[in-house]
Amino acid sequence: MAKLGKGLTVKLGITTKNLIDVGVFTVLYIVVVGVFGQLGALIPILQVLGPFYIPALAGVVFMLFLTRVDRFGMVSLFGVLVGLLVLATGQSYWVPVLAVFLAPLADFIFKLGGYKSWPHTVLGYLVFSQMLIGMVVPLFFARESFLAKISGRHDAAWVQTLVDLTPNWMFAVMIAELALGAVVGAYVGRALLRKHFERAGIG
Amino acid sequence: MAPELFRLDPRTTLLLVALLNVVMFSAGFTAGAGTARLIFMAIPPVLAVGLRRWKAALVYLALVGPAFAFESWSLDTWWLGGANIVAAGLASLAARLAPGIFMAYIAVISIRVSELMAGLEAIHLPRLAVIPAAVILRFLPTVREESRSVQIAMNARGLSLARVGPLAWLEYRLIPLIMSTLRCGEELSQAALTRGLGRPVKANRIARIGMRPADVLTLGAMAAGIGVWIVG
Repeated sequence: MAKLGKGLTVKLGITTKNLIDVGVFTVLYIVVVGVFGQLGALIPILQVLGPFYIPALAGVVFMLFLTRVDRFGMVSLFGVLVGLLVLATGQSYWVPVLAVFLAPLADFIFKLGGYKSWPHTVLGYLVFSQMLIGMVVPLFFARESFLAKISGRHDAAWVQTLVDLTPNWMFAVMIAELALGAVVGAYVGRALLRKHFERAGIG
Repeated sequence: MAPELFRLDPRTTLLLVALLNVVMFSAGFTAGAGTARLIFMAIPPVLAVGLRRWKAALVYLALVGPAFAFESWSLDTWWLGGANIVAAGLASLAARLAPGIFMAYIAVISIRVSELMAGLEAIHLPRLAVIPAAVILRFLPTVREESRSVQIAMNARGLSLARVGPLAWLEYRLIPLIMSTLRCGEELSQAALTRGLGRPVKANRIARIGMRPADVLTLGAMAAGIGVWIVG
């Protein structure tokens, strides 16, 4: 076993059970974000709303995960794994890059709240969800190389129309949508947790 | 089931998953970038054939081949505008998304949990990463199976999307899926701990991993793809 692994395990106090939980919840989160989230992509308007409803939907999984988190490191690990899995399912490397910064930040916020405080939970989930903006970064980024190619053969007015259709401020709108979706997701997640899981004894 | 014709080392597979997606999403529209995409696009169906998944390979080729051809052709020849740009955009999206998704599918069906753990330990990843990775690989098929069971149970009760509406439908699909998956997780935890997963000693692995001819060829193809992308 690598020294780093052993050292970290001792320092953070993360048990094998914790690690298995992280793995299981990573799969659940990815399924909700990737599969259920993509159902809406079939309808055009839902694509623009995706940044809102995806974190709203994934909130229940995240809130349930948090009930099993009581120490620093689990949320960070969860975030990085989610990022890597997103990369593996045909999305951009921006998600894991953002995850490396945002997941530990969210983890730190949760820790400040003792993994119990509700305001810290909402804020932490809001920060965590921002990593999903990485999915649309290439759509705004690859556009440059696309525009460079076509502007040689098409008139400037036409290219301008295309630029107008996908304005840069849409990126900011999506970040706001993610924030709003995360807050909604946290509340919906907590409500569902109370309705279903606490009664079943696995909350 | 008949044994595979050939299979990759888990480390080669994971490297391919990562590089393939970088190429698909970062390659622009130059000739070299196009060639690189073509090379990386062609690797997953070959691996599928190696796993005797003929049908999957054919379906993939039938979708991605025309999409890529249409994307290149339309960008080169059309006066883009209106419906054309939408069609070209959709073809481009399909040609860039499908290879990554298909490759992820190949990775999940071809890598065995024991090989993954052996492979990740061989590159000195900490336990912190190895155990969740193994659990993820083990649970992706489980979630799919559980999801089907939930679907069957909903059909048996006559709960369709049209009848209950989208929000209730999501709740009825998601909550049981989460519950049953978590139960499987509890059982897996017990089983794994009983078998000594949590011990602080290094386990001996009987899974055989290492470079084989198929790995060398795949790594060569990847190097060639990255090469033409950088040069061209």
